[in-house]
Amino acid sequence: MSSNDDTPILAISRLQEIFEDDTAGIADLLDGAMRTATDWEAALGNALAHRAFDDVLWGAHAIMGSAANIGGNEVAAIAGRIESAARAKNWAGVELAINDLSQAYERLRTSVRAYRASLA
Amino acid sequence: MADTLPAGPLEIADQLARDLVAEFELPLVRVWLLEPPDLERGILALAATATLQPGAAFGGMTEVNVARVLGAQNPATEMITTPDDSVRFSKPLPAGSFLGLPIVDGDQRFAFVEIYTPGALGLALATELSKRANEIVGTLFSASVCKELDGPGLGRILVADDDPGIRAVVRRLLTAKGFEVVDVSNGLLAYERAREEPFDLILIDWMMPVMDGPTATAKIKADPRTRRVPVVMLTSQSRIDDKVIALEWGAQDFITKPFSSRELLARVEQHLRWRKLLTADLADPRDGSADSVTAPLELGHFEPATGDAWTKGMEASQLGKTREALALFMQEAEQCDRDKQYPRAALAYRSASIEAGRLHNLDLANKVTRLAGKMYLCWAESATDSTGAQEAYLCAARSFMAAGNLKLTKKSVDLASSIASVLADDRPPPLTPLAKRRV
Repeated sequence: MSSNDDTPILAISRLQEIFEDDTAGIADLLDGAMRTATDWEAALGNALAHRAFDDVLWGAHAIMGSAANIGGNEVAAIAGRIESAARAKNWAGVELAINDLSQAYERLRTSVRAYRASLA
Repeated sequence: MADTLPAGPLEIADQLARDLVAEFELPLVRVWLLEPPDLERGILALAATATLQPGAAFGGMTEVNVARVLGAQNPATEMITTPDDSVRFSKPLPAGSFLGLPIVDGDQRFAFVEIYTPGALGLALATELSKRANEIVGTLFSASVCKELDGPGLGRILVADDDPGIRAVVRRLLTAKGFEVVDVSNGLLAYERAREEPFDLILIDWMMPVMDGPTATAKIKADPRTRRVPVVMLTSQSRIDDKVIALEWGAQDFITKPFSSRELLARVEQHLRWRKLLTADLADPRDGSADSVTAPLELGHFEPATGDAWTKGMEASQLGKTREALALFMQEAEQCDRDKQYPRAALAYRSASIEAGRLHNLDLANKVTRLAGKMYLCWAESATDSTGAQEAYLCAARSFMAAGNLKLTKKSVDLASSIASVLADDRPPPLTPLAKRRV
């Protein structure tokens, strides 16, 4: 599965290599990451509202690490853009990328649900 | 990096390589370790290097050559010679031979001694070089270390990351390979846990709440109870500056997230091997007395020696008379300093630091390594050519880095870099096109 620019939405192969046939373990990890993502998204929105560059940078960095860990490459890439824009104190860039992030997260959630359904 | 193998096997191998170069007047000797011995999975690390051509830029070891040596039918004795390999040097070398001396230790370790000779090799010389190369690698290898790694309980690893998903992945990966894993969610907890319990390795995230990775690493490295534990930083930071900062704060290595499972395991195993090798080295007090290992030593308490202090120091070192060797090397260094023979003084201080390390006196080892750095600085300042000065500054940087003096390390690197810039600009101006000149 891939986004418009061909960055994979959910690349599960790395987790499969680590967890081997423990698909339940992978599913738990994905669920955990999605729960954390909700918190981070909220924190990022809050930081944006308060124009707090440091908090935006922190949140984007956390999202990037968490998403990359589960193979959510599209989300990780967009979070990386937000982090770079925050580092450069470029609000316009941050806002643009945060819009993209919400949509990418929706695609990732859909992919995670599809993965879970494939296990059933 | 204050506590990075001040006088461990790497230093000894380095010294042996230098001795080999000096004795046989070899242009270059390098020792490479490939762990595990597999080009796909292994990490090729430079363990020792020595050259007769200070300032010459040497090419890196190519995979083709490593593959060629790995493919040797009888790695214990076979030598791979590739006379045409001098083209890899950025500066022309005299015609000579390249020797690849593959040395294996069970299935775990693979070393590759790269020797360039100034001329054609006779059988006797080739045999002697092979023997000496084995001696260098023997310093780096320890059969007992490899056996330990084969068994259960490979090591205790502390993992610090604020993301529970990343902790879960790292835990899964490491426990599946037999490591014992303890995980915590921030740098402060990591530091506290490391003080309370023994760990063989710490994997630590960069950005964490409460205390970040670099701060925790600095605290771990400043604490005598924890400073010998290698720290590897797990980071999403991919900028070179950040990686340099990670190393400057005391981390031994860094792994960029998302890491591949193979890379993480290879690096973890390599660091644990080095740690066990170092521990084995330090746990083998050659003086034979436990008191002599722990007794404090101070600078300036050495009896005067008669005759050639350097030679006597080497003899004492080889006989395992570590304290005597230390005293003799210090005497040699101080005399050379007074005589303004700075390279020799630096070498003597480096040798003294190795002996201090063998006595487990890390403070003294660091102090003496800093003195070696100062001698290199003096050498650089008195050098008559730019290339020599640049090499001396780099040697100084290396010593200061080993001694944990980051300020002087940076200063030395900056000075070397500024010379490099000048050398790079020291080219004839481009020819002006004829038509332009006419105008």
